[in-house]
Amino acid sequence: MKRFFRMSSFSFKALLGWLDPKLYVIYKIVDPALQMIFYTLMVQFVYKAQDITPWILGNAILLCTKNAVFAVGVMLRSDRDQGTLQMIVASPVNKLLVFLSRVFFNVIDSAFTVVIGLVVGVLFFGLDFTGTNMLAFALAIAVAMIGGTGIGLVLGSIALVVKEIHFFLNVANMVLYILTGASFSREKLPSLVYPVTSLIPITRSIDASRIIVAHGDLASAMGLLGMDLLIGIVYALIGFALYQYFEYKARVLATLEAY
Amino acid sequence: MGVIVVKNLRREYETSLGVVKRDKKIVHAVNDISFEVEKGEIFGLLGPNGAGKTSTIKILTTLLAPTSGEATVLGHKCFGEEKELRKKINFIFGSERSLYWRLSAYDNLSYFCDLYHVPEKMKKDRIEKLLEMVGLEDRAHYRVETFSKGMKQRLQIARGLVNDPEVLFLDEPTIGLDPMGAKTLRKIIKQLAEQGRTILLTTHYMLEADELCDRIAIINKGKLFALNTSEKLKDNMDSSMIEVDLHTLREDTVSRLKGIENITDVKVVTDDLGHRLKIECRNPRQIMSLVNEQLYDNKVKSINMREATLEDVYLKIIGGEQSA
Amino acid sequence: MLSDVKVVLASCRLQMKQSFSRSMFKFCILAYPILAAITFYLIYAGQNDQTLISYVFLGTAITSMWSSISFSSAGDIDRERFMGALEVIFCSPTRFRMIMFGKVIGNTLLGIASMFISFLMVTLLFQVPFTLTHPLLFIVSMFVGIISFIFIAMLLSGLLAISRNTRVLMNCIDYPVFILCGTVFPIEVLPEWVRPLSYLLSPTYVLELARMSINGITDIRLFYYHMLGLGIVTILYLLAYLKFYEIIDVKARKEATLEVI
Repeated sequence: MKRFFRMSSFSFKALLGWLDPKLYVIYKIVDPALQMIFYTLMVQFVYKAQDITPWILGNAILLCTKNAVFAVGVMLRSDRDQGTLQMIVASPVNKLLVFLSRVFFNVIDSAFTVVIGLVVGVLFFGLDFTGTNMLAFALAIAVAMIGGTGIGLVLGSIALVVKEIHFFLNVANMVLYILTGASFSREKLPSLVYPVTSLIPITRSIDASRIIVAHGDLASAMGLLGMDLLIGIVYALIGFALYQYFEYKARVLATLEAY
Repeated sequence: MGVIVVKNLRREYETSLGVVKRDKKIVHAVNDISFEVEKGEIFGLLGPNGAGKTSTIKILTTLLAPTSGEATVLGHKCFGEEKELRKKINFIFGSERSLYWRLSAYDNLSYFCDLYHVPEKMKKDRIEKLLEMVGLEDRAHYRVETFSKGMKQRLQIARGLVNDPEVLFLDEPTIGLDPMGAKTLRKIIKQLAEQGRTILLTTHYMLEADELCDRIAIINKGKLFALNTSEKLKDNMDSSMIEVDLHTLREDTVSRLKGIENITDVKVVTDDLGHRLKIECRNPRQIMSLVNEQLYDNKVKSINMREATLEDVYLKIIGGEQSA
Repeated sequence: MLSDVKVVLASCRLQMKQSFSRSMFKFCILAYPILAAITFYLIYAGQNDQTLISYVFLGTAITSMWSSISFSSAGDIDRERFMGALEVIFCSPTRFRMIMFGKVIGNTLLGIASMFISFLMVTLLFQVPFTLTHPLLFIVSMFVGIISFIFIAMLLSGLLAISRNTRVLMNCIDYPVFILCGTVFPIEVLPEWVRPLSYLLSPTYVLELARMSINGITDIRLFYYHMLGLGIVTILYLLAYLKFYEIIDVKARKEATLEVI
């Protein structure tokens, strides 16, 4: 278990090693806060008199996807580019453990970003937590993070074999933004696309957080979270399976470096 | 007046260490260096990594401002008069960098021709000649990213010549090339010097410096330690050796040999096959005839001469400095 | 002078050729306008046509134009620095700012392509009729706006040329501009103390001018005031850019920021 944390912190350090603290603040605090402000102002303008709490929550929680998609994707990819992937493949350790340990800190990191989004909501847009069951709310965030990481792992594994990684990750990030319905009700999506949204993790966590903050039915919120947790885990497993498959394929085809 | 004049040149960098508390530290990359390079000369700068070679080249190519001292090329100050100077010089870094990989070789050269204001009617002709010179004429329209390392480096040479420069700076031009590639490159460099261009180059390969350079400067830690022709540098070394195998050895031969100027020591090794004289000296070529004279009534089996190499010179200077 | 024009054209051509083979640029030019138009449209769905054009179309067009210009101006400098090309072009007898000027024009032309994509998305996919009250004034506004964009991009490219943290800055420069200029909402939404900042940025004027020509001009003087404002900030950018490149020329060599460290 100790090794798990050590590996986690190593990969996290490797990822952000090039950032100095000033830039970390810009990257991890200022930029998410600005994204939050951008979308919330737009929603505020469009929905005028309506209560925009659901959209504030949606946007705050969705900040994690940017983190998860890019952090995990770029991490797996840079493993490949820097040649450390070969070393991991060749080592006898449990690959699933390595795999999960590498994303563990990203989960915490993402949760931190979500908190920043919520702080922006409280400070600038009158987000109100009075009487909210904070424990349940924290649970909603945690589940959303697991879902975000799960989808990050799937996308990250695919990114290993995609030639145009930045194109792919950026598109994925924007598509996620649309499918999770952070800033508009999902019913507005075309009827063909709508069913897809229920296959995406995070969606239900956002819904659950809205119910919790609105003092709604806690039981139904928990149901949604349970469902989302399940989906998140399925995604993580799919991500791992893909990762292993690509690794196997790479060894068979002897193209570990270039896939 | 030399084509390149460097006088008391200094360049300092400020580096910061630590993440939270940033400690400032001054690094003297070039610390009071002076030399001159004449027209048509190939001038070599040798020294270990971090000795200040690249900083010196960057100052001379107008890429870096000197902290103090003088640096002029073709009579123009490298900092302040770069407008006139940049037209007449060019530089080549021996790596795969400094090219647009996603463009073809021809497009690369064409773009740099434009940047150097090469007239349109001369452009095509010049590009074709340059490509032919570096042996890339049949790859002209392929993207650079498909090139091998050697091809990229040759294309760099062509790029460095688009403006027909009077002075050319080469920073480790043959680094990472295979022996054949390096040989071709050296041939090109020699041709360029024969055309009257002044060339300043840095390298880590002693044989290459020996073969190419008219004069060599050895620098370390920003300071100049030696500057001369390769021959003269070697002459000053006392690590040359003449070995003589003899059937018989007259008693007074050794003492007479020791009397010759430039011989520092003579050792005799005797075994059942005969005698071997190990004569440590400077300038073995010059004293060879004198040695021969003193050996006249001995029965000589063979004479071997091992001259000090540039590497010996380099290691002595750099090694001495580093252990000091 | 003639040779400068040639350099600008050559740099512009080179820039466009290179950009087409770049994954991030393809995102900015092709994917971003499509996905952004969808996102903004879904938020604005149900509003009237003029609002949709004013915010969904213009918002997408200006944000994608801005992203492609700022991203590529910054990204190119970073990339050229990494490839070692920055040193080589810096050392050529052509003034650095001319080379950068050509590159920015190249990026702008590609950015205009992304504006067309957002136009197609809004009119074809969402079937919003593209009605303008003053088509001529709209075209004039956009044209002046694009010129102003070129100069703001030049200024940016200079700023990024002397910074070693180019990549991070580049990623964080979009939202402040999107928010301050009122790309997808009117700047009246912003707190009053922020608005003076908005009027320092040329896209603000471009958006207001364009929206006026879409929705109809009630007070033509207001239109001219904005046009004048746009002219003034553009001239300011131009002056700043000239001064800035002078500084870069010296600073880059004194502090050795052209190379990768």
